[in-house]
Amino acid sequence: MTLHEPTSNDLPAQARKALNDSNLQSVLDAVGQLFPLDEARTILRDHFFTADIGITGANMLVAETGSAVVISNEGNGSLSMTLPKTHIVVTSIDKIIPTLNDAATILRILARSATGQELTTYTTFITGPKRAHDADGPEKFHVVLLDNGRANMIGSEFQDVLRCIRCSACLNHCPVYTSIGGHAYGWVYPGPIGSALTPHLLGLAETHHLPNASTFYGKCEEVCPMGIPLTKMMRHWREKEFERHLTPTTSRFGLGAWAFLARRPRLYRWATASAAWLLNKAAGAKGRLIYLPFGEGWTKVRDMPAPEGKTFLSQWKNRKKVGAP
Amino acid sequence: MTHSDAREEIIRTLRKSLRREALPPETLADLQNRLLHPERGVIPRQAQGTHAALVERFTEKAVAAQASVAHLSSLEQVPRTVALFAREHSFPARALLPHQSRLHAMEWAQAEVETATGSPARNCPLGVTACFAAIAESGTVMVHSGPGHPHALHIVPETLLVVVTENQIVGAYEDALDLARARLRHNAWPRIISWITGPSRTADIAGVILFGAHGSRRIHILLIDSDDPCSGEST
Repeated sequence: MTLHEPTSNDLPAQARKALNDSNLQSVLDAVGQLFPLDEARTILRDHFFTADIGITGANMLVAETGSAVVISNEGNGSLSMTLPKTHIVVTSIDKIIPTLNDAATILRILARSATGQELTTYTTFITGPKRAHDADGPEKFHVVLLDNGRANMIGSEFQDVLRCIRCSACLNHCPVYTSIGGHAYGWVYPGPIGSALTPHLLGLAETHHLPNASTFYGKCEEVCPMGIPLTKMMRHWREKEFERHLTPTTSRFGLGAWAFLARRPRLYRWATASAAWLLNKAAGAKGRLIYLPFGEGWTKVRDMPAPEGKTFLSQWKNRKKVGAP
Repeated sequence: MTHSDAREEIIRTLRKSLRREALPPETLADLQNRLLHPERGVIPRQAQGTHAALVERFTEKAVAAQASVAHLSSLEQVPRTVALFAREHSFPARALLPHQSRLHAMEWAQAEVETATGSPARNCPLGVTACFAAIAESGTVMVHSGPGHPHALHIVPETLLVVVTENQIVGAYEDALDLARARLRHNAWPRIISWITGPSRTADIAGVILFGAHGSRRIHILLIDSDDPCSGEST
């Protein structure tokens, strides 16, 4: 279904007034409370009440009782598992935990790491279909348990990623994710956890750029409540990418050239000084480059700021000479 | 590949990855014993304390989760409180109740509240339910599905009033789970045990928190401070 896109004409009078008063928060409040949520709630509720099958994931599967644990703040999960005649849970083998007490421990850190809540609004333990005398509930309850390569990850350098509880703490703190958003990752799992997990599920050939989209400053693993070494895993993937020659020829050539120079300091200084001078001249008065050899991917959509003309080392030397602080 | 083939295949792969065969019987027995006698993890300090402290913590945490809490001195006050609540918030005084429950048997007519039982309609404005337990650590009410209790009653009503007696309040999640293990297992484990912490919400629209996404827009807790005989029972 599509919800129609609101235009300013559709806004309630109160929101239009707030818009005229240019008070952003009151615009958001007025629009939010009066318009999209009510519409979404009403339209979607009809769908929940008329659907034949409800499909949810599960945050955990508990061996002690054979229960699936589903959490949500909205309540969409709770409606899906109750109103339709059939409820299907689709989840993966890494979600299985031994006991309800283990679930309690995970619940304690899950919402806190995700949104700072003590607990999500709806935390439900589902155990089987409608009982004979139950007032409501689905007659059929299925759990589809996916492996999808996860069993192979046990015992490998990627085993730790299976501890992930999908709290999104690593996303919330990732400078790359917060700048480019989730869709740029191209698949289900965005952010650092996506960069560590997706290559395993889809293959490195398709996804080798993901583990490269990281500054490696490590906040992701610092905030991970399950202690998953995310940067280590992305580094593993980068190594595998290089081993399998998946890196484009130009960057392999570039890295090779850099390695050659970096082992010869005198030559390195000469080369970087020449490059800085040359790029500075090429940029002219604007100080920006609109074309860069081997860097068309960058310059096609934006300009490259040009170096100032002198390398850090030569500036450092100069300053020491004149005795500047 | 059939269902059981796939299962075998996963187990085979797991064993191969772990470089081992099926577990020796004594290890297996240990693991099965752990399922029968679940151990507790770390219980935070905010989930511990005297009962009076836990009652206070429950109220504080429920309010922090955007539920509202009213203190009543006895269960008998519930119908009249519901009538006043409906008038105050401009609802018709019509409440959906759990069927054949202690709540249902109360003096609703006298309080001029119309009642109904069964599954809620799509636009049900007001539901009233009792709970199985309440958890101080997070301000959560614990309900479960059953013969008189459609699970939809706990989600669908625009406003949900939950009757909690003080002696239903436990400290930690694990305490609530122990109660469930003790009181429900010998009958039959319910289809759904649900922990509700404040009203339904979403921040999916422009990152602004709005209440009443798919579930109840308002959770109002009627906290009964007497040790009423109703408490602890799944009403």
